This record gives sequence, structure tokens and C-alpha cells, in this order.
Amino acid sequence: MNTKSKFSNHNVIFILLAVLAFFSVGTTFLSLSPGLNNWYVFGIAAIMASLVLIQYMDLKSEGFLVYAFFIVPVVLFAILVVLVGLASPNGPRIF
Amino acid sequence: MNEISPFPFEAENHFLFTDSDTAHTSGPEGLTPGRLGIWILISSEIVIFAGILGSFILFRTAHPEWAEESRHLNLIAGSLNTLILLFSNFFMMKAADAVNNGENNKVKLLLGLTIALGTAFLAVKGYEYSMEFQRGEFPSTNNFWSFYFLMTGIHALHILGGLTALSLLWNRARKGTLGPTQGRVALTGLYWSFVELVWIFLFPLLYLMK
Repeated sequence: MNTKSKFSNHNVIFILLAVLAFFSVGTTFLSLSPGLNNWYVFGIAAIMASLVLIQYMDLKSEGFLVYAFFIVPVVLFAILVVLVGLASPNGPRIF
Repeated sequence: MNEISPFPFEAENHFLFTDSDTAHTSGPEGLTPGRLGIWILISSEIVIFAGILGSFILFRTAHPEWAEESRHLNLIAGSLNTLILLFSNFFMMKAADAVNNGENNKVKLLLGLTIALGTAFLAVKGYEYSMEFQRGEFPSTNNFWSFYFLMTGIHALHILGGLTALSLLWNRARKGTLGPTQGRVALTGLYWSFVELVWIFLFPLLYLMK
């Protein structure tokens, strides 16, 4: 990728992030059920995070080692959440 | 005979941020020591933030009444800070591009804007804290506020750390001595993007979750 296209990529990603942030805040003006609201805002957050990771942090051009740095703590985190969730009296209850 | 660089670390990083195929050739999987170091740092930061955020999610789902507490947060200030960080990181990315293009004046300007917006983020957060303290909401008030001050406080400390690194780079850019250390602009950009990434999850968790 040349510098010029990278430059315009940053502009596009920034606009996308701003629009997504706007939609995210917009949920407060909608009367969604708590469950739906939470899936909606975290869905948007996941998309925003992916954009930052892939484009700004350039994860797309990294090798396996960097992916491992990222995946291992995330997997550990997922295990932690599931185990603690299972151990809670009401069972796993996310949202 | 090859001349030995007095700045071997920086000299490698100098080539890291070009677009040539020779850019990533010095470490495991072609990562330079600087980039590898930043990724290791980010990996350890993920462990820290994932632990805190994971604990908050579990507590939050067990305590639906926390939704009432989160309504006391200033949504306008939180949204403003989201926008400020988006702009700040955008300028940071542009600064890294300007380094690649050898535009020192632009680097100086963009780093300055990034620092100004990072400082604005802290100012808005400080204003929010002062309003909360005035309402009698402290870390000791209840678990929600303990989590709130812990998560936003640690995040603010990361912003402060990033601002320190950015200020050092900006100072060098201002003096025109960025030269051999210019690769650090993109490394700092990587860290700054991570700080934005954390906020992307903190904001809905604290301000928008019902």
C-alpha cells in the first residue's frame, strides 16, 4: 500500500468511526429494551474496535506472532468470564 | 566497510515505517525490536484492562440497579471525550504518515494537535470528576463508582503516559532533531490507538449500557 492510499484510508476510517460513535450515542434517544440496547451498543463498539485494530494499528499486515500477542490475553479473558459466570449462583448471564 | 550507527535501535525503526518490503526485516517475523516491544506492552495492557472490564461486566450483569447510577454520568462529556479521542488519534495517524513523507512542519503541527486534544480529554475528564465529587459521588460511595473511578482513572493515566511520549517527540520535531528517532512517532501512534481502543469499550460500558 502506498502512503497516499494509506492517508485517504485514515480519512475514511475516521469518518466511519465518527458516524458509528454518533449511532452509538443515538441509542440513548431510543426506547430499546436493556438487552437490545446493550447488544446494539457493544455491536457498534466491536465494529469500531475492529476498524482501529485493522486499519490504525495495522494488524492486517502483521504476522502470526502479533496475532498471538492479541489472541492469548483475549482467550484468557473469555475463559475468566465464562468460569466466573458459571460459578455465579444464577449461572452465566451476560446482558 | 560498514559504518556502525550510534543509534542502532532508532536506525532500525527509521526504516520500519516506510512502505518498502525491507521495512520489517530485523526481528522475529520481521518485527523490529521497537514494534515488538510495543506489541508486548499492548498485550500486557490487554490483560490489565480485560481483567478490570471483565469484572465490571460480571458485576454489572448481577446488579441491574447500576443502570440508575450510570444515569448520573454526564453523557455529553463522555460523548465529547469520545469525539476528542477520535480526532486525536486521527491526527496521530496523519503525523505518522507525515513522518514517512518527510514533512517535518506537518509532523510538528499534527503532534501538537494530538497533544492538545489529549490534554482536552483530561480536562473534560477532570471537569466530570469535579462535578461528581460535588454531588458526593466518590470511589467509596458504592461498587459502581469504585469501578467507574478505577477504570477511567487507569485510562486517564495511560493518556498521561501517551502525552508524555508525544511531548518528547513534539519537542524534537520542534527543534528539528526528530531525525533518527522519527520511527517512534508511529510506535507512539500504535500505543495511542490502543488507548482509543480501550475508550471505545469503556464509553458504552459506563455511559450507554442499560
